[in-house]
Amino acid sequence: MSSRNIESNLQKVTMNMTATVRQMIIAAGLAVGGASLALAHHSYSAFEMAGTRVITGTIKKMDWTNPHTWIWIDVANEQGVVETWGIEGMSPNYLERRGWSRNTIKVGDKLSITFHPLKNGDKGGSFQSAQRPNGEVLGMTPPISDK
Amino acid sequence: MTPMRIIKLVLFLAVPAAAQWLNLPTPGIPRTRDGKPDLAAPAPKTSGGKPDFSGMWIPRDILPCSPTDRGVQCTELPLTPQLVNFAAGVKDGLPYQPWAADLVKGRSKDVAYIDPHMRCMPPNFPRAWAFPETIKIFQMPAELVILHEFNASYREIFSDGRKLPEDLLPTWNGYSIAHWEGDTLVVESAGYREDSWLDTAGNFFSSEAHVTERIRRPNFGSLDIDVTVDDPKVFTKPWTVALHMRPLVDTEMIDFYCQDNNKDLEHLVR
Repeated sequence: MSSRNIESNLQKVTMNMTATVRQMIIAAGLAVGGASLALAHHSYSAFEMAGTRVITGTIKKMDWTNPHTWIWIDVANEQGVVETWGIEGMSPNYLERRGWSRNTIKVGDKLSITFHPLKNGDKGGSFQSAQRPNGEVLGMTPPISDK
Repeated sequence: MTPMRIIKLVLFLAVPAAAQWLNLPTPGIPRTRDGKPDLAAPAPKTSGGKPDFSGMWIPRDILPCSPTDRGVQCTELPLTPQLVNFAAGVKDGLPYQPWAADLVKGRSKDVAYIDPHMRCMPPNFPRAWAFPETIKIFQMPAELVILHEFNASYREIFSDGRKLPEDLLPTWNGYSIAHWEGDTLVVESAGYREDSWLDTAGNFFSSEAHVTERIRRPNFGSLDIDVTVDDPKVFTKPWTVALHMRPLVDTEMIDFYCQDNNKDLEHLVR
């Protein structure tokens, strides 16, 4: 999903809300959206950047760490066996300036995460966007603007 | 209103205030009527009448999200032209000696694996001017200090009239002195480590390099740096690249210790 589409979805979601709630949701969307990918300290050769995959599950752990944040999410496979996936996101300094906090994604949260999978087949990838059950889209953030 | 309601109200009001620690307005900067920084306002001056470079800065020019333009796989991360090719804007590219050109070409397929940055080593100036992490300048009469978010590192530039010392200990940033020429701060540096990487493409200079950075602040919203590298061991002639920064306001420095929880090395593939 392109960042433009996600922004559009975000606008639809927030269209009927009060101004205050809208600002909060937009802030959260920009924030989580910033979790797109890693900082420049590594290349993306490890990821299948041409393709995305979506998994749905329950947050097991959130690492609010450098150089990348890590979302650990429990996902049931086709056989019903629960497996833990590690999804790599942007760094705390990048995310904090876009309204995220270490509590934006909490243990126990239900999320559908879109990501670029690891080429080596390990259960992991590079965060692109996420969606909560209530429809709130945590999308990619546009290029850095005021911060 | 009952005491409990007052307590709840105080708590309600206190939470947003506490949550805004990162967004406290930067004092003393020019603003437009809508409260945004006035980028076209005159550059602030020191008490000595020189332009004041103090403040937080990030690169101004961002490449479009295109693998062709970036030379790396596309992400939403803002990347500057000089991050992926420090010679961006240099006519005919960098004037390498043949052996140096062969070295850069030979390691091109492995840059994602062998770049010191991939292993969280220091960003080193002048490369750090092009990094997406924030820098913060403190300008004093006899010294300029630059903090860099990446690995919470620092750089010192002495403007107290001293000369470049001889037989310097090789360091990532080199040793820097500066003097004013009008409103331009001329920074001269030497004493670099061998094979100092300049970008993610593997461009580099050697321990023989003499680097001159001419820094100007034409208005509040611009910091322009012309970087000239004179390194006869690696290049056939000196070359200059222009970098541009823009101010970052109403925020603060945040630690970025690259090796804190780095899980990427195991995923780096040749």
